[in-house]
Amino acid sequence: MTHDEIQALILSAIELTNQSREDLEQVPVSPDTALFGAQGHLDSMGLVALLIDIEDMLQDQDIHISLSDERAMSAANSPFKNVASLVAHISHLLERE
Amino acid sequence: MTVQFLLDKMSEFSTQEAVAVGSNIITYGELLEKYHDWLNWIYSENIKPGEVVSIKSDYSADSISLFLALTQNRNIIVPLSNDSKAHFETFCDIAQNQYDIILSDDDSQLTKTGNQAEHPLYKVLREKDRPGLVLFSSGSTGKSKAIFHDLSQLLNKFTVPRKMMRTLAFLQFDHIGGVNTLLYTLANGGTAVVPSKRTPESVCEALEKHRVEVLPTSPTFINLLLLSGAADHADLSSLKLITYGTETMPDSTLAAITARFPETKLLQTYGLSEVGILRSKSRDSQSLWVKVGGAEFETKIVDGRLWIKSESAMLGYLNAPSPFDQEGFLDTGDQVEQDGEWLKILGRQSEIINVGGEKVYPAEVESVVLEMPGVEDAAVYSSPHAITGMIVAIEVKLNTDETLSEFKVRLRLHCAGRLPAYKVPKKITLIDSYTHNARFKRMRKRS
Repeated sequence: MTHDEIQALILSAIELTNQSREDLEQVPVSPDTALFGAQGHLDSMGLVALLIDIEDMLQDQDIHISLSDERAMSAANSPFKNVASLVAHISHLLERE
Repeated sequence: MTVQFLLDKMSEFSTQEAVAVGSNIITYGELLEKYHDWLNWIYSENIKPGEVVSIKSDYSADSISLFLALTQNRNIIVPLSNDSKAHFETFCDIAQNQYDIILSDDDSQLTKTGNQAEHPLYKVLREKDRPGLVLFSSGSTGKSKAIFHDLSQLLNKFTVPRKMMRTLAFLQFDHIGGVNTLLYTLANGGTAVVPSKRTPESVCEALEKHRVEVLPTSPTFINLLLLSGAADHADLSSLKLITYGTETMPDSTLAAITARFPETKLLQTYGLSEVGILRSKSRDSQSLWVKVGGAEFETKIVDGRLWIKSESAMLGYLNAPSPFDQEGFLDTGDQVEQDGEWLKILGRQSEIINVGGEKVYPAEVESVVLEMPGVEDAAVYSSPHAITGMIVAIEVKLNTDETLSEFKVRLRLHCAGRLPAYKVPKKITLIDSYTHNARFKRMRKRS
């Protein structure tokens, strides 16, 4: 998957999340969106749900990876900080596959 | 206590219907006749008291009378119904059956296995010269345990006369609930009605045809009954009481069944294969609060968990260490909430999902999801997750054409406001088949 494909997939997962979020809690569908941590739009439960949605979407393309393994959790720079870091994280995981 | 008091009762009721299997009705007189035939057969085959005998059969006049004859002969009985067909070999191996009897419609087949049944618990019972019963747990929380009862102790409970009732035999005699239904019925001159199949349609047909008064069943079956609409095509006006047990009742299912059968009383039963079925009383039909006990039972609550002591408790497991504490109480593994003498069963301690330190009981989540239109069945389980330790995962059977994404949105919207975020299922899987086992108990996945 290319960088752009991964980013598109994350953005469509955010759109899916937004469908069940209230108006005031909408997550901006943008490559610059902060996800988790400082200024993040998601709490831990929201993050877990988003990651699983992305995993499910990858599974539809026959890609079976877990986005939240031990290594991701202990990384110095959280891969869940924003859309860009999540794209990099997924792209890294796919390379390792 | 031998089976004699039951035989005396049965001859009192000799012209009354004892068992109805499909359209075949057997009176107490006929059952007694068969009992004597089987007893003579046992003598002629030289099956000795204390020997371990498995019966492979579902409920029938023959299996019931053979069961009674083996009880009279003080055998250790291992009833094996077709519910557990896949495990026959394992179960026989654990029980060390010395004889195996396969009953089919007009035929019986006896095999001497050559097994030596020398379990220390067997010896204890043989010294007392009493009949025994081996039941197997469903294995929903690991491997099946072999539960060994002093059958005369179980029978003792039924010497107190109670109401004569026409009862559906929902569970077979290899389940404590099935044994309880059978013995209660025989001891009180009632009629046990065995449906030809355990589908909602078959059960409703049997309820109508035999004017059944009591339906002992499980929340899962009640859910299916409502979904199938089978009750709408049958005259179920004879039904006075529906009892449910074996698993936690979702609030949504209870509300739906009381609305559908406003004239019928709902009673939650509580029992375990290890201690038998306790006498119980629901606060009212809409309530999940229940009072459990009865003369031979003592209960205590330790750390929110229910412990039970009973005279009719099993002697022990054949394949696991004794679970009794020093005072003879058994840990049920069920977490309960307490309000005076009333209890609310929350669920199995072992099934609690710990989401980042918060506790979630599968039943409360299932209850909310089952409220959704299009959801036929739902089973919640825990799935490990690096962020919160565990997450709530759910398998759902839908009767809609929704995609996973479409259903996710609908589920989240439905759960918002009904459940805190940590209880809302995160991992969702759509499945094609129902989640229950042969006894209509919801089988939750284990991660």
